[in-house]
Amino acid sequence: MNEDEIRSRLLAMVKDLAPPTDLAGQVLRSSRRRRVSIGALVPLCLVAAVWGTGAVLADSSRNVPPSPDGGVTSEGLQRHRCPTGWMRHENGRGDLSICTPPNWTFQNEAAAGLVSPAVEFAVGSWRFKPGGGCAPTKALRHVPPDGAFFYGFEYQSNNARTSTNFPRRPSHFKLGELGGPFECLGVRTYLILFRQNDRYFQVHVKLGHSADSKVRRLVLRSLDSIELMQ
Amino acid sequence: MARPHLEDLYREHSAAGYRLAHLLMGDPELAADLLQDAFVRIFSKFQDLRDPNSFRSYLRRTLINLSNSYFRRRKLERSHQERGRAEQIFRPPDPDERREVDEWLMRLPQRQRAAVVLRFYEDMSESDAAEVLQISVPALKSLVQRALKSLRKEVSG
Repeated sequence: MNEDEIRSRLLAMVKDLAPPTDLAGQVLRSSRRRRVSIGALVPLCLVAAVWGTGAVLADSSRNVPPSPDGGVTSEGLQRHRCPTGWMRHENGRGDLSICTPPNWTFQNEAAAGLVSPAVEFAVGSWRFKPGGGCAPTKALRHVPPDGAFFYGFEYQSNNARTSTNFPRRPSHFKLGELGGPFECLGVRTYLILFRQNDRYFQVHVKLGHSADSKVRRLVLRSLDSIELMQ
Repeated sequence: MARPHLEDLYREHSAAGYRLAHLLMGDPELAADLLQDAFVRIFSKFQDLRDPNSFRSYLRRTLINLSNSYFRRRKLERSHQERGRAEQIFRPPDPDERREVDEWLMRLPQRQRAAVVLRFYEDMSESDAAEVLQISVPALKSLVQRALKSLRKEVSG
């Protein structure tokens, strides 16, 4: 096989490939977020250098012109409808929401005292109680045989973000293989990592030992309903 | 000269960038991730680019650099992971569509693969490809030769 043949084979390999259609929006949103945050820091630093006092700093921060992109909070939640009978819930900061099946329990502070990573959402098929050290272990250890519990937290530090591979959020989540037992949790769970709009999440799903495929589908459907405000 | 809009740049260069990323990574999901990271990285410092009209070159170089970083990180992580899981990354998306060159390309060490892709897919000169990979021209030639040697061996074997 000569070089021309290799060239034409390589071209043929990728001829019809195109990037995912939703990638453009994600790229542009992430780029704007970065530029907004950098753009907002520059005038602050300049004013601080000129005036050098805390009082002036406070004044100058009020004078920062609004970003042309409107900042990260201007776009609002793009709400999709929950399935009939389901309820949408928000995390503590109001920048993430999720739909849950009727009669399932949602909490956004499932592990008391956990500051970082903070639990953004915890969902159980029964009325679970919050509590645990570095994970909502109370709920994890009391999943009913036919029930399910899942929770997710968001990475806040850059170190954590770069230490593990976070794939882009898929169009539909899958549970994959049972993993663990993981640190803090003490039980085996389905681990899901994903990133979306420059935010990084880890989700653990624990199914009861006799949970059927219907429960599994409800969990996945609920996870698919996660929406982020970007 | 007015700077082009980011949306226009994405529209113009994303398909070519994705194809290059796909050849470098061998996986559609990883290629999409790589492309997203590359665009975000370039766009976030777009005002500082010396020549916005050379966007294709910036994108190509950024994709190569990010793929290098990815495989370096993977290499470190792989020693801590089970072997089977790491190997899954390099499987072409659809086994039925596997072709000889696809498999050969994906089995090449990452540096050889990047050299082959730049030389034969991107059709770059040896000196340009060497510059993008930040290696000398003889080193690039060596990478390409070793890759071709393995292909010939595979075809004849």
